[in-house]
Amino acid sequence: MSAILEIKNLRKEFKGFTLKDISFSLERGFIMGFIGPNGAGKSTTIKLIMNLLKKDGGEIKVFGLDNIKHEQEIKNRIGFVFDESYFYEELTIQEMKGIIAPVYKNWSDQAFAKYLKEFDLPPRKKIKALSKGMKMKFSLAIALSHEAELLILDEPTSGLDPLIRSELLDILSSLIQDENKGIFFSTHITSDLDKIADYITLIHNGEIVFSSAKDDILDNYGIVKGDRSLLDKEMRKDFIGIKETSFGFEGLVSDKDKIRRLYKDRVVIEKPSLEDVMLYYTRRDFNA
Amino acid sequence: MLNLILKDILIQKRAILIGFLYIIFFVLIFPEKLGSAILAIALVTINYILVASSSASEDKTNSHILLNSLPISRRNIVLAKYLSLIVYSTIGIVAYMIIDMVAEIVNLPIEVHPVSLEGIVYGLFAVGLFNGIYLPILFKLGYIKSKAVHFLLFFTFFGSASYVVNFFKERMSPAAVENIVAFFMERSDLQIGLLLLGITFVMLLISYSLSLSFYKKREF
Repeated sequence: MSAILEIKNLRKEFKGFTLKDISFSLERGFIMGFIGPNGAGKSTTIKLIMNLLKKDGGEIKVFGLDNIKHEQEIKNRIGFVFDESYFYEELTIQEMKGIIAPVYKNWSDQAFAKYLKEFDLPPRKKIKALSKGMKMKFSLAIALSHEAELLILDEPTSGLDPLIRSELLDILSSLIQDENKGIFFSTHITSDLDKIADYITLIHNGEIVFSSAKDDILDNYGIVKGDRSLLDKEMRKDFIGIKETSFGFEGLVSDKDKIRRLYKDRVVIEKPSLEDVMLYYTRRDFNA
Repeated sequence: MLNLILKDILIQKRAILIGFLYIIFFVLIFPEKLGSAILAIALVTINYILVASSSASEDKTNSHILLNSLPISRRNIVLAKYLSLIVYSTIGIVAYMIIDMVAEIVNLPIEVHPVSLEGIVYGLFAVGLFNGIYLPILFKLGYIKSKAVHFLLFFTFFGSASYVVNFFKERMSPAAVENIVAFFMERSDLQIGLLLLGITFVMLLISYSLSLSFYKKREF
């Protein structure tokens, strides 16, 4: 099956930050979590996909098409939810819809009305009177009302309460049942992805650390705990990051079976969360 | 395209009302001897207010990110801004006519200079000249950074008109001035009107191309 989103050697230079020739791809039918600390390059990557920023090098293909040459066609088939609302605050939901609906070829008023009802959004309410969660739901209602095949979500859950976050995650998981769609979801709240993501791409300092299936990561990676006396030079090589205390150490490894074979029951190995993986890769004081 | 212009109207219902009040203010305080120039002043002013208010609201909500994430080409975003000028001018002309009518009906002791075709042509020319200069700056810098330029341009626009005329009068030979005057005298009002509209159109076309090339390079 062809990739719904494909990024090759994408480069963007700013003063003080460079997105360094990153590559990854997402197949149809899957949800990819795009994680990394603030300032790692998540929003830059998304803005490059949307052509809000001009790339300095590389290639972006959406639905197999170049994102600049086929910009309009691609945007017709993309739904987006950003971390902030960029709607005109003075307008009501209904008025804003009236401006956006005509630009999409496949807009469905029925679908939009259905989502407004489902999300409890009053059409006559001004956008500035909506809470952050309601604004996100309004963005989502628009994204879902024009038969978008690819959903791009840039930190959609930041600043939202757990209830709305879990509602959003439920909507996304039901959406992806249609195997023709794809969801690209950037967040620094990795617990959102524990349940729903199929793939995880970790970006740090403008570089892709890994882009792999979530289950592979959670099955192969391990949090290893043990006595400090075990921790020699040879052992350190296997660690992505280590946290040391006066009692012992705790660290992340990418091949827990190897550690189990080598150290047997002298160490305790636990399953990491995505947050553990991200933190051990990105926190400088955890360097092995 | 139409929805982009409609958006500009919807987001500034209040500004349109303010523009309307400004026109009343102009009609009331400017003496009759300004003649058809008063409509031109009113139109430039209402365009100034409405371009400023729509652009300010766009910058405030960062809506360029929204517009450029939708399947709308940058060409259409720029074009809509230029076409809005026609809509704003129409609003201005209609507002002026309403005031003229009301003044007549209630027998106000002021003489409102009636709307004439000549006045409309001068007005559109002034609106075209003013915005033809400003809009490329707006598309290059965004509203917040170009706000001061917009303001200065507006206030020097009227002050400089008489200055420019004097400047050329002083430096041009009387014969040249006579030639120019004769050129216009020989033409009918219709010819002059068409000439002015033609110049306005060409000016806006050049301005639009500049705006588009700036806006295509903008990053958000």
